[in-house]
Amino acid sequence: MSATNTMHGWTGTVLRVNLTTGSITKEPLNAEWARDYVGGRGLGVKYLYEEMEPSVDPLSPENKMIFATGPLTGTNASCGSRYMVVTKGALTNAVTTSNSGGFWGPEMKFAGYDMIILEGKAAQPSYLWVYDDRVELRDATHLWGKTVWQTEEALRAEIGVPDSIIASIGPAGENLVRFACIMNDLHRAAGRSGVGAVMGSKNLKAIALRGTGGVSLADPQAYMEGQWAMKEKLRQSPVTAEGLPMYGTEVLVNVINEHGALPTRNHQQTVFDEAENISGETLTETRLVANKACFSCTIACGRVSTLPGEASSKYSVTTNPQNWKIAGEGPEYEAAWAMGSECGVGDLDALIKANWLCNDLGMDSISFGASVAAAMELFEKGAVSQDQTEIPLEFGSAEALIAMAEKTAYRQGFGDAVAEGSKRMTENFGRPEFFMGVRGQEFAAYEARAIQGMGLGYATSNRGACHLKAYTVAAEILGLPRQMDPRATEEKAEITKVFQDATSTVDATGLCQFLTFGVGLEEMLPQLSAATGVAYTLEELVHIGERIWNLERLWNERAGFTGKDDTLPKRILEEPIPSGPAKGEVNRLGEMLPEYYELRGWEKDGKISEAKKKELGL
Amino acid sequence: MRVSIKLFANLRKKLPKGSMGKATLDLVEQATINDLIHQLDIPLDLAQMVLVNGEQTREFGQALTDGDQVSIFPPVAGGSE
Repeated sequence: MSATNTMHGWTGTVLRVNLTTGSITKEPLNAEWARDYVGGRGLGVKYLYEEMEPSVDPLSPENKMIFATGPLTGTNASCGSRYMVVTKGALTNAVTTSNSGGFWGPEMKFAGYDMIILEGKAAQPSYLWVYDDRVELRDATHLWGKTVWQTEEALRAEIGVPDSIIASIGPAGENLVRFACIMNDLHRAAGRSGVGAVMGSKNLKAIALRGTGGVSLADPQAYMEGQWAMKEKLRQSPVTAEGLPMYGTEVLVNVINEHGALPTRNHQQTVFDEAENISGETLTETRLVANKACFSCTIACGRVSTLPGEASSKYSVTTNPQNWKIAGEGPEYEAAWAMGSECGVGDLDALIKANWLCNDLGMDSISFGASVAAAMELFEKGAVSQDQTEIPLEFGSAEALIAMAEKTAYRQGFGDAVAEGSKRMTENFGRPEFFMGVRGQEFAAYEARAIQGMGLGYATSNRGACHLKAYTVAAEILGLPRQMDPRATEEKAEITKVFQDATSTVDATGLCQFLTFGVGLEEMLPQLSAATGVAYTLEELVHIGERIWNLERLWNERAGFTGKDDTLPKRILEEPIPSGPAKGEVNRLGEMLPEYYELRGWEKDGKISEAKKKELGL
Repeated sequence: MRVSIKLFANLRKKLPKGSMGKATLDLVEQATINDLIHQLDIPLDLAQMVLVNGEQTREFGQALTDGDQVSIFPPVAGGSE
């Protein structure tokens, strides 16, 4: 165990708050674990694994929440803005690692903490106020019920520190919507798996931070040499220097649609004939105000969008109507897909408004959109009637989408059903086959029948269906770092494993995954070593990623998951794509999964072998 | 022969404003993808993804045929939480 003031990169201090008892303690970071798991996702999962019984109810006081930064969070490393929320997911019952940028993670480092561990449940609505070493748990009864944007404004005024940075939940988190998220900086989300519901179950409305310290570097000169080398690479990359800043992630709408891989109407089709209307090109030409960067970001992929003139009042809402005449952020590609083509909605203004609503109400726009899409299929196939839904939940209805955003966050009417997420909802209405996801979590915006590797990535993702754990789309569609055939299953096991492990390491450093469109672990290594003073090798970084992946898997095994959960919905495995460039395709998971298990060194049934555990020190 | 083309992201500036990235081009018989990219004045390293009738190809020496639909994207990426 290292003393606080001898660590670099890491602050060396963990803040632990027991919400039940109100006890607030500071403890030294476990230096051995820090070296072996780095930080962020890795270190957070290690602490959760060691401290918590995985079988607990995610919404019970026994579930813990860990807000974890990495050693490069808060440094001036390009895109060193990230923090992770590590907990048992309310949507999935699996371990989740929800990632957000903005300015909140760096502020936690500046206040002097690598991680904040939350335990128990507060007796009444509360918020945590951290100003350097001064930490207070305060009453938030007067904030309960407020939206995210209202909360940030009210809390900052109440605290009286204008530079404080706030992460909070909205009504969705308070109402335990299974896919509620945690928002910081108004528009940045630790989005997936229901981390906002876990926070709501603890009666914790917000964590406000102000830090006046910095991040100590072990070798500043070597660190800056690494910095200049990385910045030069990012400047030379057409993706990080031009594509992402100019069009943001939304540019993928047309890319994926042209490949016949844009899931549409709850995955009933894979080409959306209104894709151009909701594309990044249209957003840029008609609704973009500016792009926006997170802390220390050299890419600036964020979108600031607006609804000018009559567009602002096109769909009426009751939530913060005064906000709809100014600018907000997004939508990102995944949100535009989930609420757009997956719901058959081709009206960009509706997506902008629904996205703002999700941010303000504190809901994951991916799972929300995908759950509405599943509800629309229930409605289309007669499994629910208009008596139940109150409004016609027809594919393509922007009015229904907007209305459901508010109903879901407040669990009003049919929104109460949607708020359970599409797995529970479709089971409750007797049509579980309409759930499009894995381990209870809805897919992201890439059709696994048209992009084979994504099917394997979804099926084996530890936090449920997710594009961020192995983004094989980069190779299978975008040609990064090299082009692979999206229809082939050959080499997909290998690339999925390589991407999963490398991504786990990136998520542990505190850096943003978008760096990987321009640089690799080898470019991150010099800064990580120079910041921490630990002489990591590239081989060790890859090994650390593999260790993190396996520890998450082991955590899930203890929570009751098995290899049988590494699967995809029947529609994806058995129903051929009806039309478009990928017509006739199904996902051939059975061709990839055994090879993947073998490459992982796991048993044939997907269980982690004792030999692998020993090799990784688990 | 005549082919339909669709250009995306910043490649759209290669076509007249208001064309939404769509155009129909007349090419000589046996013209290849390389010829098309050259005719459109697109730097080769910006033709990151080329799809002919929905199928991505890197075989830029491939001859096009009458009625083909060609989509061209520059290097882009995405995917966020």
